[in-house]
Amino acid sequence: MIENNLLKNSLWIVVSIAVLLLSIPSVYAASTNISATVKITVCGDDTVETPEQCDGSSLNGASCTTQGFTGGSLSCSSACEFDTSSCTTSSSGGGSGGGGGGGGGSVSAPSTSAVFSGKAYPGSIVTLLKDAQITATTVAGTNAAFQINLSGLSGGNYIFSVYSEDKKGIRSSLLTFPVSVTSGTTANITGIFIAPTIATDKSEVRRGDNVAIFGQSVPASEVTISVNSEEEFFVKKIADATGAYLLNFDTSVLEMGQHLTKSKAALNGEITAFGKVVSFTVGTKNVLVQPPVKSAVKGDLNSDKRINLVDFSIVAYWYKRSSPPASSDLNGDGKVNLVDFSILAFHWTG
Amino acid sequence: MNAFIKTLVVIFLLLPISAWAATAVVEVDTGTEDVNALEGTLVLPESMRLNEIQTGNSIILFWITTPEQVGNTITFAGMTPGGFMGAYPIFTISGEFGAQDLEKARFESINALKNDGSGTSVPVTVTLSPVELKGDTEPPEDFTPVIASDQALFGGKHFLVFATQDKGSGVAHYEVREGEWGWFTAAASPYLLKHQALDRRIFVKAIDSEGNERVEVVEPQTQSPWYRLYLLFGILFGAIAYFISNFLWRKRTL
Repeated sequence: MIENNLLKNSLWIVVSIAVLLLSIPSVYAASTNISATVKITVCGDDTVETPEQCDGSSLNGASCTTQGFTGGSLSCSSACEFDTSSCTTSSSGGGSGGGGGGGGGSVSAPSTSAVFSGKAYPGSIVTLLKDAQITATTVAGTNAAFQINLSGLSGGNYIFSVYSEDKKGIRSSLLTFPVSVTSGTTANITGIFIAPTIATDKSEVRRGDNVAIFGQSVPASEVTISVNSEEEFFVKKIADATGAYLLNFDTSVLEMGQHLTKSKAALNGEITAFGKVVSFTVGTKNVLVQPPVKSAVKGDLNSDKRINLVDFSIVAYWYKRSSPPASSDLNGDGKVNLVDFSILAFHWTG
Repeated sequence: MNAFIKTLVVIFLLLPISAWAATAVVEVDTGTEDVNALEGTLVLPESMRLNEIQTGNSIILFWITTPEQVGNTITFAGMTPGGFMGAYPIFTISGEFGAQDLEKARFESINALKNDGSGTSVPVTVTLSPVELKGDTEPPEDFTPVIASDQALFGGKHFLVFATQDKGSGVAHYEVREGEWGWFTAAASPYLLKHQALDRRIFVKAIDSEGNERVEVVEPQTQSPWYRLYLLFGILFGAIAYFISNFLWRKRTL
């Protein structure tokens, strides 16, 4: 009897513990997937990551002497670069005059910021969007490299996007990467590589004639051009010193009808995603494409050459309302619904 | 072990899964699909009581239908320019509920559209799971309200558009004040401007769910007419003259 009770109570305790364990809610963990080929490092987390020289108290084994000084105290700046202002150089022999006086350093409150660096097109304007609104622009160098510093951020998830326009005014696709920013640190987003621009010289090409497929990327990069038919053709070209590439594609291998082309670039082991998709038709005559201009594109409802919050507001006003204007009904199905917003989001410029 | 102790143990163990102040997050997982628009409905069990819905840190940047509770459903729709791929929060709910309630909640009419320029529908997974509620002391992000006009909206009259994000608790609402004087009134974008002359400063306030505020100012697009300035000076001069004369008269009578 006693043994039976002991067994029942033991069983009772085991079941109770199991119920207790099951009732503890699982811990939520935010995902930090990055949808672009970028590298994100954090300046301010005391961990030295490339391209940081140091991070907080971590000097990566460096000291004043390794930096060419004879003594003093090496520190790390808020930009994760060595601060040698407290390093000293002792004079040898009777020579030079005294060194400059050391200034008292002040420790400022750590700001939350992000540094973006990567490659676009030589001399192109690079636009950075923070949560889909333009926050900064810069001009890429002759080697297509660019860097943008952004401060005044809060800790949290941001969606950053960059795009650029080539020398002919052709806009790249939007390169988007969610970044989780930690308060009081600097996030370094490196390796941004904007996909090449692309255009064709003809909207319709007579079968057997050439269609010119061209665009711009980083100088000396290897551009892979895809021509999508029943069979997908891949052709590689090397961009010239201005980043321009050109492919004269013989359409005799293509079937009659519509075809799509897109391109991606690779340089020094870094590779872009495929950029915008351009269509052309193989038919019975040649029809030249009008010179690319900054024309109004789908979603530019107020014709200001931009697709932004104003256009969103106009479409949002007509959401699920009867008889929307044709300009707000982006897919022309007679109603404004989520599909119209998806099209608007795809063409977004900020 | 007597029945009384057993009952106490059961009550103690079931506390975490019975009605309790809790927070849960609605998350979307797009897998390998690049999604830029999402809509759906969360149907709550009758036993679930909500106090608040927060959109802080959401992957959705622009809400078409801000998540709001109507009856036992929460309908939402929004878009994210450029798209996103992976698992991210959409919004959080806070109230009195337990793990059992979360299991009974279900999603309906989930529609996720691909970032492909034509809005192709793709399958995604939307889940509701417990999360720890964090405090928020930071104001919403800075933003730039824009004045615009379009024949398709308000008959071509000037309107104001604005939107921002709050990384903590999410933007709860906006308020607008036209001019230096007066009160802020609740507003939503697009906001039809009362003063179409655009000759006064416009203040737009974003307030998050914890009450933190950020105010942005839109400068006048045109100059105020001369008589308004004279009128303002006249009123000020009159008021000063009144107070001085009143002061002198009182002094004389003392």
